[in-house]
Amino acid sequence: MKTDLKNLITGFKERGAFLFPSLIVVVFSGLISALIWLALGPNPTPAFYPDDKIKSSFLYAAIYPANAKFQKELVQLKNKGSLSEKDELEIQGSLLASTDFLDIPPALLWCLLFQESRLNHLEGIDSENSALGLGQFSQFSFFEINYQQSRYRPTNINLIISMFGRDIRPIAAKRKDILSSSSYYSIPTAVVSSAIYLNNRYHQLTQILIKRGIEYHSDLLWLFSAMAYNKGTRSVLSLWNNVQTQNGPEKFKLLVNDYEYFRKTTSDSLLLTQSLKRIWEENKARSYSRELAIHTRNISSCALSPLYQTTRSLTEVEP
Amino acid sequence: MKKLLNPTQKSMLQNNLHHPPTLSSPQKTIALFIFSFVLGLTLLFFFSNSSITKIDSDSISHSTLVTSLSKGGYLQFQSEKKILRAKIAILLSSSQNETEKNYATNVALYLFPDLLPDSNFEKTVAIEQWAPLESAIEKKPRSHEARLLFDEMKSNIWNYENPKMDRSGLSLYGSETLKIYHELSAP
Repeated sequence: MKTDLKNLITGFKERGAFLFPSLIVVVFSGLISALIWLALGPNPTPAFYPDDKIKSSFLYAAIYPANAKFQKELVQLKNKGSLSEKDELEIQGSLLASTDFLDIPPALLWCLLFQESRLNHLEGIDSENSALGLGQFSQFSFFEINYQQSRYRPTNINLIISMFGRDIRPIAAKRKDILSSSSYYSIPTAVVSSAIYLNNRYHQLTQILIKRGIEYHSDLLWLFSAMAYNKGTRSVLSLWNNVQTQNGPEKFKLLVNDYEYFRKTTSDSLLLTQSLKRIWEENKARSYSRELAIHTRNISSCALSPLYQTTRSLTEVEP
Repeated sequence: MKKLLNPTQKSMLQNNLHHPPTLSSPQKTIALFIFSFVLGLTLLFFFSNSSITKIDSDSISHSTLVTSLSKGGYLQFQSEKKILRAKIAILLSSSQNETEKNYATNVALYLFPDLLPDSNFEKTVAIEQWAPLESAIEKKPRSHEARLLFDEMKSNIWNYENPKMDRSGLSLYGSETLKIYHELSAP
């Protein structure tokens, strides 16, 4: 037994004189090939725009609403009984699940829903309003969720299936069956649908920038998506066109990368009106730009980390 | 000493009439110059205004595509659309007037997005979200399939311009485009 073992070791030692250098050659050539592949091979994520997963969120507050006025209003809503603890918990649970799945900043979605309906999932149930429920959905928002998801990210459908165990579409504002998972008056359905609709706006805007090779910061793009959720993607793109034409491509890059420049631009009522005048006649453009500016200020002051909030925006913004 | 007057002068005096004051030659020149200047300014103002009016009538020509469709049929619609496309292409490439350019951009956005410059951020959305649907409707006009495509197009345009369907409604150009394709897709 001992002899066999010795023979084996000697055999290895003899062969080692040949094996070891060959092993080094194989390892080195493997390493060089890997380095060449990394340098010249196809890159799955283009270098010109940030990978959402890598570039972590810096702008949004961990605790929301971040604005003292909204915090006070939330307490008032609870005290008055307009928002029950059960509903609040259900909204929060569905919201965290949806935002985690779709990589949406939770503070942004919460503030958007708060801004749209003051978290009243039955908002507009007895009225003939065109916009209804937690995320103020219209018939065309439902159409997009129900029939046009193939145009957007497949994660949207995966979210529905993961949340409800099946595809619950078509979703509608079912007044007589508010507990049905296909009813937008049901809290989880409303939160998931609104998250998907917001995600679609984000997808639409980021694709435009990616196609043009324009670098952007995802946190700011989420703010633009919230603007598009409320006033349509056209309003956002009209502003983008105006900034690019008037101030040049460098300033435009700043708009999608620098929060301070974003804040200044979206509170410039003259610039907003000028941009919207490309779509609507003057009076309508003026009132629309006012609404858009207020909406953006409110969302920002509610969702952004206190570090990014100026004293001015905290004191002047009315919920 | 009494001045002797001829019969005509007598009659003029009797009727209390005097010779109209006559202008000297330099005065006439100045007056003519002022008159021509004022006339020139008036004409300039008139034509610049009528250029804006012309845009309005062109915008009607965007909406008259609907009329041409219902009265003249699909062939007339196609020929008017071609004419409008040529007009828009000229305006987009050569017009210096902000109003004209804005009008042309809006019509191009909804009917001829390929004419928009690549720098326009709206071009991508238009090319993806309604241009293919419009072509598909035009290939199979007045069919059930066309109506389904129209429903999709309508949803895209509303979500793009006014997702809440609030009082602002759609832009003039968005709603005119929907009218055209509503008519074209009516089974």
